[in-house]
Amino acid sequence: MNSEMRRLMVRYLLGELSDREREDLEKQYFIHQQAWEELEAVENDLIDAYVKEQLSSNERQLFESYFLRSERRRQRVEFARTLMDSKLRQETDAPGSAPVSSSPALRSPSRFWWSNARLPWFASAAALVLIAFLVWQNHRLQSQVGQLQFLQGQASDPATVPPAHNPEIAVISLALSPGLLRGSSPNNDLAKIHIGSAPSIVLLALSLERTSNSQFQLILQTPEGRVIQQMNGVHSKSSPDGTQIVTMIVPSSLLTTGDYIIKVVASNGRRSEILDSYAFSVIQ
Amino acid sequence: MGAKALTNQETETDREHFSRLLARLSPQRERAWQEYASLRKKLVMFFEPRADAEEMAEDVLDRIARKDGSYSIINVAEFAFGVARNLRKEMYRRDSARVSATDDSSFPVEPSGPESGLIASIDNEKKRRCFSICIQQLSAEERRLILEYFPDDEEPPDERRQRLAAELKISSGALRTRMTRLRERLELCCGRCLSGKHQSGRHQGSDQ
Repeated sequence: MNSEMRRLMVRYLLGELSDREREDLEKQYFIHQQAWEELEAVENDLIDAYVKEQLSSNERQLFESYFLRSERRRQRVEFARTLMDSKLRQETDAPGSAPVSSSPALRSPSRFWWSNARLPWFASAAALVLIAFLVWQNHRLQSQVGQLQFLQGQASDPATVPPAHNPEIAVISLALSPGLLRGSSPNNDLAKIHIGSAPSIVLLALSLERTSNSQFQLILQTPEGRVIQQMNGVHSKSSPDGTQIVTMIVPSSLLTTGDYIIKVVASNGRRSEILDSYAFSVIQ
Repeated sequence: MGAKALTNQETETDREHFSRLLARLSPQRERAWQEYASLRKKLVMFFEPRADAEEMAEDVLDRIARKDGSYSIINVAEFAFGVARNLRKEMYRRDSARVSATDDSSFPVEPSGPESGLIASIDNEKKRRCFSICIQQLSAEERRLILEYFPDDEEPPDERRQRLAAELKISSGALRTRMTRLRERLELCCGRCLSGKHQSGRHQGSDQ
C-alpha cells in the first residue's frame, strides 16, 4: 500500500473526500481485506498522532470536529492516551507489577465514556453525592492553604501535615515552594509526606513566584520523567498574603515511596513554558 | 396468548435469519463469526462519525439477514456495501427533510474545576490499572512488540516497524495486521475491565 493511498485514507477519516472518492474507497475496503487492514492501521496511527500532538492545525481541527464525533473513536483516543502513557511507565514490564484486580472500583460499573456501560440511577446518585462531598472538602481544604503557607514559613522547610480528620477519606495536605529539586540540598531534604495503605487524597498547594497567568497545566512526574498525573486549565487563587497558589489533588494510590516533581506550565496562546518546578518525597 | 407466543415466534424467526446470514458468510461456524465481526466493523466505519453508526450497521446486517434463502448473494461484503450505501442515501433524504436539531454528538468540552480534576485523576487511575491488568495478559514478547510498534516518542514509526518486521522475519503487512489485532485485543480487554466485565486473563486469548 503506497503513501498516496495512506494519505487518501487519512483524508477519508477526516471527512475530506468527495462523495465519489469516498465511495470508491469504501467499496475497496468492503471487498479487499488488505485495504481494510490498512485502513485500520491508518486509523490507529492517526489517533496516535493526535494524542502525540503531531497533526497539523488543519488536521487537528478536522480530527476534533469530524473524526471525534463518533463515540467509538473518542473511546479509541482515550485508549491511545493510556497506551502512550504506558510506554513511559516502565513498570508495565517490571517484575512484580501484578495488577490490582481486587479493587472494588474495578468491579463496579464504570462511568468512563470509553466503556459502553451506562450507570444505573443509584450509582449516578451516589456519584453526585460523592462529588458534592469532594467539592465541599476541596473548598474547605483550599481555605486552609493560606494557613499552610504561613505555617510553612520558609521554602526550605516545607510542612508535612497529618491527615485531616475524616473517617471516610483521609486528606493529606502539603504546601510547596518552587525550586526544591532533588539534589539541590546535600541531604536531599525534600518535603515528605507519609501515606498509609488506606486510600487517601493528597492535596498539594503550590505557591507561584511570579506570573501574570491565571491558568496553568500541572504535571506530576517522577525524576525520571514518568508522568503520574496531569491537570489542565487549573486556576490559581490568592492566599491571604497575596501569594498565588495552585492546587493539585492526587489519589494516594498513584504514589509509591520515592521522589516526585511537579511542573507548573503556563501557556500564552500557542507557547507554553515551565514556570516552576516543585519536588517532594513520598514515604509509604 | 398472543403477545408471548408472538414474541417467541419473532425470536425464532430472527434466529433463523441470523443463522442464514452466518451461513452465507461461511459454511464453517467459527469462520462465519469472524466474518460477521469483520463485516460489522466495516459497516460501523462506513456510517461513522454519525452517532447512530452502530445502529445503522445493525440495520444493514438485519436487512441482509432477512433476505430470503433463495436470494442469491455472491459476495456478502460487496452486497453489504450496496445496502449500506442505499441506507445512507435514505438517511440523507430523511435528515435533509428535517429541521436541523442540536448536534449533541459534538466532542465534549472538558469540564474545569478542582472536582473535575479529581474525577479525571480517579478515572485515569482506573484506566491505568485496567491497562496494567490487560497488558499483563500478553506475553512478554507481545508487550515488547506493542510498545515498540506504537511508540510514544516523536520519531516517525516507519523505520522502527521495518526493523521489527525484519527481526521477526515477516512482511511489514503481516506485522501491521498482527499489531492491529493485538492492539484491538488490548483495547477490548481495557473496555471490558472499565465496564466491570473483566473476569480473568484467559478469555482474551492470552498465550501465557
